[in-house]
Amino acid sequence: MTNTGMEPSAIAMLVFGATLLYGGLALFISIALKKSNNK
Amino acid sequence: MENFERDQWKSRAGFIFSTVGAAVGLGNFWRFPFMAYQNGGGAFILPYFFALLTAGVPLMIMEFSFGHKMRGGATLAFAKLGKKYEFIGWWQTMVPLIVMCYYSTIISWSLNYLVYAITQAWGADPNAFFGGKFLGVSSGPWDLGGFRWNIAAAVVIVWLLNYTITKKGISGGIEKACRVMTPLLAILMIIITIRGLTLPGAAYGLNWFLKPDFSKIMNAKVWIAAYAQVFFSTTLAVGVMIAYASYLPEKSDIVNNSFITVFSNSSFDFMAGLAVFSILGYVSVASGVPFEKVATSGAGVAFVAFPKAISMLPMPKFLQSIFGIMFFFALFIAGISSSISMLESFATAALDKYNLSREQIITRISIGGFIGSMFIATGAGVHILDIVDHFVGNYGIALLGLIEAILLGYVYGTDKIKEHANRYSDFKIGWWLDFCVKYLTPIILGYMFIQNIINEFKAPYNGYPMSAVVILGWGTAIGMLVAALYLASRPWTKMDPYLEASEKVVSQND
Repeated sequence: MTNTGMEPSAIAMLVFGATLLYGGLALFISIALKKSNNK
Repeated sequence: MENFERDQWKSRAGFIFSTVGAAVGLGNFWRFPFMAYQNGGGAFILPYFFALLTAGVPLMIMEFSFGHKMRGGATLAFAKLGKKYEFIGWWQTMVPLIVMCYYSTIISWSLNYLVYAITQAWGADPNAFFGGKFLGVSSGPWDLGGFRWNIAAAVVIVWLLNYTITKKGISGGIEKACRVMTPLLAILMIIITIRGLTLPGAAYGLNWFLKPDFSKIMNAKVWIAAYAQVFFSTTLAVGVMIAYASYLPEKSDIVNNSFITVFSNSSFDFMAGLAVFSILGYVSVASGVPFEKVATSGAGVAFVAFPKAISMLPMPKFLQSIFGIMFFFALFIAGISSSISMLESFATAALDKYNLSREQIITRISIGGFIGSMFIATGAGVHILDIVDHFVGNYGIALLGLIEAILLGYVYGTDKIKEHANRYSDFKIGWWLDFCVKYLTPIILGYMFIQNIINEFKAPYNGYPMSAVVILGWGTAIGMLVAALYLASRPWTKMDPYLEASEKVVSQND
């Protein structure tokens, strides 16, 4: 129960999870926008 | 019998905001973070992501494709597949019909707490306040314990909102509402998460959420938990996504819309995990209470742990109250955008079959749902909710998902799903959908269902009296099936899906 910083493995999983989910979402939205602009 | 003009989404963004609004609900706030916490922390992200790609996305593509191709809600879509399958559609739409009753009451709790946040009425002991003064929890499910009038009053508001939005239809009601509610929810979530992450002790909480225990992902139970989380969180197999997709214009993307919907929902899941665990970490550090005692799962997070955290935030009381209002408003929006989708699932099913106006159907469902919600607004509400949710959620959804995957995978055929989905989509899908829908999903959902049944017969659920488990639990589950069979036996008064289906076969043969 101490106010310590985040552990390296937790930081790694934070970056990993955020990259997969938000990166994936950004990718699919950008594909949709690109396709709709081409129409 | 007459043909009728089918409502349509006005824009692709409106459709996506509505499907995301349907998928993101109260469970995102308190289910995913604790599933990760109990199943390997950060390591849970691996099976979760795998489940996302092999169950969430393929089943979403399957439902969007099926609803869009058949141009009907679950009932009409399954009826077009074959007369004997119509009851599956009704059975699916029975789930949201039942869930809506207690879901609306939980939304009304948020509304009450939104007002309580102004004065922080929960005081020094939010736990005693929630179970005692607020809910007035009775001794058991058969002891109604009287109405909680403050909850009942909020239930009226919630149902008036449900009624008003869905009565206006897809483009005029649901789409307009979700174009505002879903982005607003995202903005509120970002603000809440940033505040959580900047609190002292946030890192401590996040370690509990994200520190990976890779030994756990070798355990099959963790993988099943990941699949269950993805499956329940994305509102599949309850007719909602089939109904929503049936209102898409003819030349619509199916594949990418599915990816965007599923990834948006999971992004909300992940963000809720960051917000909840950083704030719980702060509470643990600031109060000196072990994290395991602070981190209560389920609705207790929102209505016990969060009020406690709000009162402890290192800021003036006025700002604490603003933060509390924001949090409960976010819960309220997440709840409403999901409850209107549940109402729409059954409404579309009934609209497709009966020659009644939308207003007539929505009025009838709303009155019935409102009466159901009022039972949950009693002292016994929490007990009733817990039993019904356990049976409808665990068995209903898992079993219906299993049946749906088998029917659409083998009877309808994944080739037809793919062919229709690929017609106007931004990118195409191939063999991966066949594998997921025909083999992987039935195996996992079948295993989940059998495991649940085995556990059920070991002991009465949660120690409730057997009479309550049988009547409220099994009774509701079996009652849903009986009602579905009855509704499927009634004649169609708006169109004849069987005639339409046979005409199609004739024209294809010509």
